[in-house]
Amino acid sequence: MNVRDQELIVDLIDGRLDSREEQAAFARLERDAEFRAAYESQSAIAALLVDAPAATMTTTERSTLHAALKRDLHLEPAAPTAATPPSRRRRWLAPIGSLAAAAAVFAGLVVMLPRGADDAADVAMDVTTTSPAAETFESRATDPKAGELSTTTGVQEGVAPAGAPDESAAGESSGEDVEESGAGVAEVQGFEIPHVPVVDLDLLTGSLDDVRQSMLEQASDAGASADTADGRLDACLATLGGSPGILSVEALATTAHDGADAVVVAITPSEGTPSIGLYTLDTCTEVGRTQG
Amino acid sequence: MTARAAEDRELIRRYLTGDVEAFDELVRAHEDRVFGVCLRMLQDRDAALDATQDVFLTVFRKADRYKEQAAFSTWLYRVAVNTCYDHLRRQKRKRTEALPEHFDPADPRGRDELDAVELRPDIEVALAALKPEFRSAVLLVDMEGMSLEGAADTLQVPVGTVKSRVFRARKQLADELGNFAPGPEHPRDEP
Repeated sequence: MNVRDQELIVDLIDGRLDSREEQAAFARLERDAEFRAAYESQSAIAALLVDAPAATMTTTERSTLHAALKRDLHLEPAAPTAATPPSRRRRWLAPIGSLAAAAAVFAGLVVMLPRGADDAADVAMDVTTTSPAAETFESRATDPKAGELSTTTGVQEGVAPAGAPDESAAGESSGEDVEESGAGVAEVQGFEIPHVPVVDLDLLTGSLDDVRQSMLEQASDAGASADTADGRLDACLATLGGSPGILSVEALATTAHDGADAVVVAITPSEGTPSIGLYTLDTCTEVGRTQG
Repeated sequence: MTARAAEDRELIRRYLTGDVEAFDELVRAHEDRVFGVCLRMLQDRDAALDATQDVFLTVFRKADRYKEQAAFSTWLYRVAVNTCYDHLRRQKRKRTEALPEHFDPADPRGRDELDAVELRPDIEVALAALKPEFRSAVLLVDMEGMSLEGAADTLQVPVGTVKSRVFRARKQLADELGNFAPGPEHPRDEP
């Protein structure tokens, strides 16, 4: 049986032949036992599959799917935050939020010190400009307490996200602490951190936007969504962001390196060209870096 | 263009303008068929649900790149099949990994609800033995009722390739399931 015969049988079963071709095929069936056997066998299997029950989701599966899609596409209507478990993004935003809150409190304290309005304004401005995270938090502010803090100090951007750790504790930090960590607070972008199975730094070329898009597409193509954005990531970003000369850091993706969890980080120095680094999550050790 | 195809295009346009209801309608219109393709391809309900989620995420995240020359459903099932290929590749890689210590294979869902859509076990096994590209072809044509041209568009291969894959898939299934060729008592064999 050649390929043309195979296609003829498929066409015959699929009803794609015109009447003349169909008559010819039926005549062939009558006289060619091998052709007929193949046709009968193929028809029987096709009928068996056509009659198979259609697969449908259970009610639970359907609800799970809808909820997951709306969550991942950010289509979920606003819900009371107390009843919503913290998302990956919120969890790793939390410590940064506390730093922003601490910065706001510190600025407020400085304003109230009897050192003259000009000095106070300078310090408050320093806090604002050295805390890029604060700007990001502004649009997500849900905590009225944090809002009060910012009005007191005039540092309107110093708003903590919902779910941030105890702000009073953060507010107890010394001014020195805030200045040191504030200078390198990680800059946070408002998207979920994608997970890509493998990252080849040599292939990460182009602008930061290109790299970010590439990560999202790789994660999307791989269909992966590993949740490695845990406390290790928070700690690693805080460490990197707190390093001297670093203006901002941004987690672009989680991945694996030599069997260990790792993170791809865009690092923007105060001066010079941004770069992209690969760090292990356990020890926050750099295992590779390329220019972004 | 079918009414469904026209409606899908309108829903995509509405979704791109931020209409969440359009999103809901699109998902509801296609979720069972996408899930069906994924279930028959992956043969595991949890994996199929994960894959279905990935399919819709991919489609909605790339909705702005949807070219209206093709039917939305063709694009959707293309993404579904490719997503299943990816899952199968990952499954293959993970096959040697040990199961979790407290692995519990029991499915808490109602058995009756699941039984209603299960294939005969021997058919499941026979389908599982097919190469993914043969499985997808026979699945789209015979189980999803797609035309050969539709399957070719979805799989991005020539129609002739689809015919060949369908033929070979059915032949292998017949071999696995026993001889489906007519016996000597069949009327066509009588003189």
